[in-house]
Amino acid sequence: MAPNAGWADPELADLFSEDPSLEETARLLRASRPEPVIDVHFQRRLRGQLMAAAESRPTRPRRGLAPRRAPRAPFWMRLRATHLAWGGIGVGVALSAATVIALVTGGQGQDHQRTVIATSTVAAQHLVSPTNTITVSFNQAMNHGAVESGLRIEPATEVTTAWQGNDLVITPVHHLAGNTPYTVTIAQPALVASSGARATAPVQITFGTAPTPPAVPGTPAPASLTTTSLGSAQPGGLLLFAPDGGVVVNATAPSGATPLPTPTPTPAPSPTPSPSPVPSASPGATPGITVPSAAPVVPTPAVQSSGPVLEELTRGSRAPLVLGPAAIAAAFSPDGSSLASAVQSPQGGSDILLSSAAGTGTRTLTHSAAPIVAVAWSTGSIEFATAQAVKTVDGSGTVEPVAEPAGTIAALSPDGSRAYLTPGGGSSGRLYTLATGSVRTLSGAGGATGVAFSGDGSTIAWIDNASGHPRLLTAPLAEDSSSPVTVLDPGAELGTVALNRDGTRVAYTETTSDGTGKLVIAQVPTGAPLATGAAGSSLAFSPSGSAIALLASSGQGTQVALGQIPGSSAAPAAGVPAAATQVLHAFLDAQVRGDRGALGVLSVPGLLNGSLLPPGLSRSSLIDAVTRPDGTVQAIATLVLDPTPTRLTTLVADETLSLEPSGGSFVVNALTVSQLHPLAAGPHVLGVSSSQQQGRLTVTVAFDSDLAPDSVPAAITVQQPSGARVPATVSYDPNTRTATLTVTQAPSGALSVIVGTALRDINDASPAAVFTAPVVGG
Amino acid sequence: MSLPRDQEDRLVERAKNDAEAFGELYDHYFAQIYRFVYSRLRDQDAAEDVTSEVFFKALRAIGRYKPSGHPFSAWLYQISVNAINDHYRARRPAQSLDAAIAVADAQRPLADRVVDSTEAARVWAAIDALPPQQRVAMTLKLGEDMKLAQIGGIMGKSEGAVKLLIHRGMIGVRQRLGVAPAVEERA
Repeated sequence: MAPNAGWADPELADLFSEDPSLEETARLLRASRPEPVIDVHFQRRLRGQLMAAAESRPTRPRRGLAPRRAPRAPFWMRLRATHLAWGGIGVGVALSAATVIALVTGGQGQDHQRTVIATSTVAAQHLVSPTNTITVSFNQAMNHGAVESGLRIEPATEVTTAWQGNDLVITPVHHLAGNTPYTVTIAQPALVASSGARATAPVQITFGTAPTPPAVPGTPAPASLTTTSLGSAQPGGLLLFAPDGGVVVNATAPSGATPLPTPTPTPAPSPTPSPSPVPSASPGATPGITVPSAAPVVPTPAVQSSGPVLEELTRGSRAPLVLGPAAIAAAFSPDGSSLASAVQSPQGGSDILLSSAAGTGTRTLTHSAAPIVAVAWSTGSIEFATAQAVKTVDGSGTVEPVAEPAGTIAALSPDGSRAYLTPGGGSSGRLYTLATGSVRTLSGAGGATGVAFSGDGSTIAWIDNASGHPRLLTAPLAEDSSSPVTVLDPGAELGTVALNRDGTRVAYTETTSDGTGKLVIAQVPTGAPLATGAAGSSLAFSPSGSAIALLASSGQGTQVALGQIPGSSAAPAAGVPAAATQVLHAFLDAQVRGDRGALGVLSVPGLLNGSLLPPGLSRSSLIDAVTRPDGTVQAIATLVLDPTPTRLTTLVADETLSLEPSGGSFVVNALTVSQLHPLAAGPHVLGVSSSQQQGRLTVTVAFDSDLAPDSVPAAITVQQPSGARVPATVSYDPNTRTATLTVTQAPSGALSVIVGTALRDINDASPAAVFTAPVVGG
Repeated sequence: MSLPRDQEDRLVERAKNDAEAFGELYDHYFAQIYRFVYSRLRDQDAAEDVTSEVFFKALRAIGRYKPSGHPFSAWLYQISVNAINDHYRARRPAQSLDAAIAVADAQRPLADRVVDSTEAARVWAAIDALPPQQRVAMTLKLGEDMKLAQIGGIMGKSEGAVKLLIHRGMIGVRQRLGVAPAVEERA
């Protein structure tokens, strides 16, 4: 018998009376609707916890006896929303910022003290900053010594404790490890209230930390970015580099500045295409667009030079160069010979101006009744966008419509191939491909300042604010995949973002919880910071990527600051090509997202099947990657399901990946994924990296647990494939939980690092199994 | 199934101060809220988490609850819809929709297709691709067998607007599933 037989919905039958196939679709859907099996244990646990929370509500004062003051809401209404979720012993809410744990006591004390309530702001969170403290708040005075004696943290973490009223504040001595699930337990016998009441269940809090850039011993802290002020600018977003290295901004024209040329009007376009009326282009000019190097200009009225102008500022004593009127948007041609700008038109809307890169020969190409928001150069023409449409204009002023995507356009990619559409109705921003009309959602992307294209138009970066924990993501424009960039302070709010020309470096601003603003320049995709400096409101990399410009507020108003980025070139781990590292991160991130489309793009055809993608992953971790002599890359990773209040065990799957070169990048060509299994007790390796210089091999192994230092030297070794141990000195840095092995004369051929079961953490727990990872491919 | 309105109103009023009354509401509505949440998330752990969230939000907010002419369950469903949306914002689905429905074979007979539970899950997953409001309306109609008026009460929309959402949603699902037109069956 067909499922769903006999089902009929008169409302749907009526609704679809003119299209029976829709009713058939409804029948199909209803027949396939999920029929969950309710876990009665869960149902009972949840009921019990609800009852405990409900009973702990204070009794309303009797009418007439209450003091004359505004009535207070029950305690859970007085708490901030983020403090109100429920977790507890058996069940919890993974989406909330706090867990309430009701611990029913033995009935001593007053009625309102019969239940001990504990809350924690980190409970059930997946992106807790590693610099966070852990606070467990009790609703009544507790026996401090007893509670502290029952405290245990997994992975093993050395902590100090302090009490602030009824709050137990737990501070990790060496911070928490990044990208790691944690469980904090206070044993039931230790939960003794000052009243003597004892809890009947333990406190168990689960959470996970946000990723942080891998800690590499010996790596200096990111350099401070030293900037030079080039001059004043008008507040606002326009900031770009000129081909000669100057910085172009809107500014109030300085007295004595180069007079502002008046644009010459554009001849009306001929009905039929005709040769451009302007003189022929100089050698190297952008095809299709020609700009006279010394076009006749109308003498500039004085009033124009006193208004806002678009000017180029440079280091040194050169006076600012006025390029034209203040612009809404501007872009230099790919060959650097011409400048296109959109300016506010006297008659409303915007005008597109074209000039030489030095601002000479300015003429108006076209007028747009709707304000222009972005300008780019595409092949042979200038592309401009209003909020609703993208058009091109050529040197003769002929305008051609390109696209009218559904949405609000905020930016164009530098090559004019794509438009960024800001979110409407709370959804994420989208990327619109002009050539195909296809639309791609950028998860969590918001306003235009949180989105940036690389100068070559190959990469996009954006800030994902969807989860309340901002993430910085990058993605190749040609592929529907993305990879997260670990930010310097995972708890910070992220602001402006910029990419360099080839998308290998990103700059972003962050504001930490204490209100401190910071500029961070980091490598993509690892997030390894290159430099930090004072925050700015707009950011732009120089064409070579060696400098960055920003608009910074100061006592003198908005200043244009230029900083030389300290020369730390990208240093892929273990000689692994940056492209391979990027693919690895993108692949792992796609696995966590369950994005099979992206996984397909990043792997060879036919590689994927259902068993390779455990559902509901919380995080992934790239443990190790090495390059083999044949150019392939071998990697080890871990896929993780964080514990939840209903499942206190962390589940992991072990993964090995192989990548092969493909079309200038890499693809995953082999993959093994183990079944999900509980994470064994004891210390675990978070990451392995190595570097080799003049025969000297340095291997670093980062752990999730605080280790017993005396157990490290004997437990971690470097070995050849034969099992022969390679002599190495071993040191351990408790601040980074990292062991460093130095081999002064590394033998040729493959080498591996071995972590043995003799290793101990501060809780005296050892790894359940020997860990092996290649450090030199062979 | 809702309680008789006057009985429900009295129970809700008591639940503002009486834990046991709240427990009665929980006992009455747990299963349908859990089923609705599960039908949207199709993951037991996630459904349990979100269901917990719904009832704790309800407990926190019940002091401010005022009868609006709709059943109490409508209020719980509203909380559920928001909690599910929060869940999706915080955690992306474990499997992409395209992958989920790609193997749905439109050539196979209807009965064969839905007998397979894996296939059924994939068919139901086609709803995930719809715009949010269409998703909610479709889930309440086909997952919960609700009347259009009830759905309107939960979503704050007119019955006509709900009809439109379901009509458009069904067209969207049909396109994705490639369901063969049923015209010949009625000819």
